[in-house]
Amino acid sequence: MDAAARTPAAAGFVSRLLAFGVDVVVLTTVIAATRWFLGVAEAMLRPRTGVGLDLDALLLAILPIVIVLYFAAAWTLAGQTIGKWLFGVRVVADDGGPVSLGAALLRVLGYLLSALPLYAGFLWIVVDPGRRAWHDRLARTRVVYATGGTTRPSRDVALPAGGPAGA
Amino acid sequence: MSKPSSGEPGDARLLLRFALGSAYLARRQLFGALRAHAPAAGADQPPAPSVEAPRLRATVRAARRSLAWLGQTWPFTVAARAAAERRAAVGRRVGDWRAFLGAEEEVGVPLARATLGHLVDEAIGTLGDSSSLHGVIEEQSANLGQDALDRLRTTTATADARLDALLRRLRRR
Repeated sequence: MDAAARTPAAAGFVSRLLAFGVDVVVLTTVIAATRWFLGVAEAMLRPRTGVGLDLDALLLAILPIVIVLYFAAAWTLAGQTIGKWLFGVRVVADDGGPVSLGAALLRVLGYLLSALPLYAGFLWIVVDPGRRAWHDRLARTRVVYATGGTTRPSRDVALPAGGPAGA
Repeated sequence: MSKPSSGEPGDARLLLRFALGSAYLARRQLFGALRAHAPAAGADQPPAPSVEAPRLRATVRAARRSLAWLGQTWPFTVAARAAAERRAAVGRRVGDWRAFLGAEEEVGVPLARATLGHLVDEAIGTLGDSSSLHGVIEEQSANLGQDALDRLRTTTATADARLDALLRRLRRR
């Protein structure tokens, strides 16, 4: 079996978009729950301390940390977030191995870069021969089908073992 | 055929009571189901009786009269009296047994109801405690979940391929 046959097929735009949507729902739920807990804590503490808590400011401060931690930890530890697990895709390094913490952090920051020009960096997946977004190229990662890659319908482009040129 | 005994019930009698009670409950269930599914009255009419020929009817009448005359002669009256006595004796024993079984069935219905309920509870409890059954149920549930996930993943992967094909066609134009 050659390297191209061993390489799992790259995941397409629809799977990745839906996976991202699920992650957004998960994060929103977590943030809403956090806000609720903070509200309860504030209601309990205010009569004793007399000090109010600016919940929105606090959330605004921790929100980026929560988002970065969620994605980076999930990609580093499991290769996939909840959404990616649900849709059977995972993030791997260019060589097919696990994603390092540095690459994962860079990939999260790459989301910003991909989103800034009207999400063109995300839409790049549909025109890129290796189905890679800008943040994939930035962090030298790929998103592949996690299970049964050989049976998945995939684009007619087989990825080279060392990653596409220019990655 | 001896007369049924009465007194403290033994194992056999308890078993008989249970069997009679169970049969009664099963009969009620069966008749309930039959009544629920019985076709409406008049759906199946029996065929109309055929009209007999007058000559055949006269022959049958003559034969009946001959047999009635023969039955009044001495040997037949003696035999008929003995047969009637035997029938009466058997009838009395059957009556005794019928009364006995009726009484046993009456006692057996609550016994069967309680015992069957207990047996069903015990069977369900035993099945619920069975680790192998737990394993089977968990495996089936996991398989169902996995199947649903696989379907979802295959669907989205197919959508990926279709989107790519569509874009390729658009780019060729």
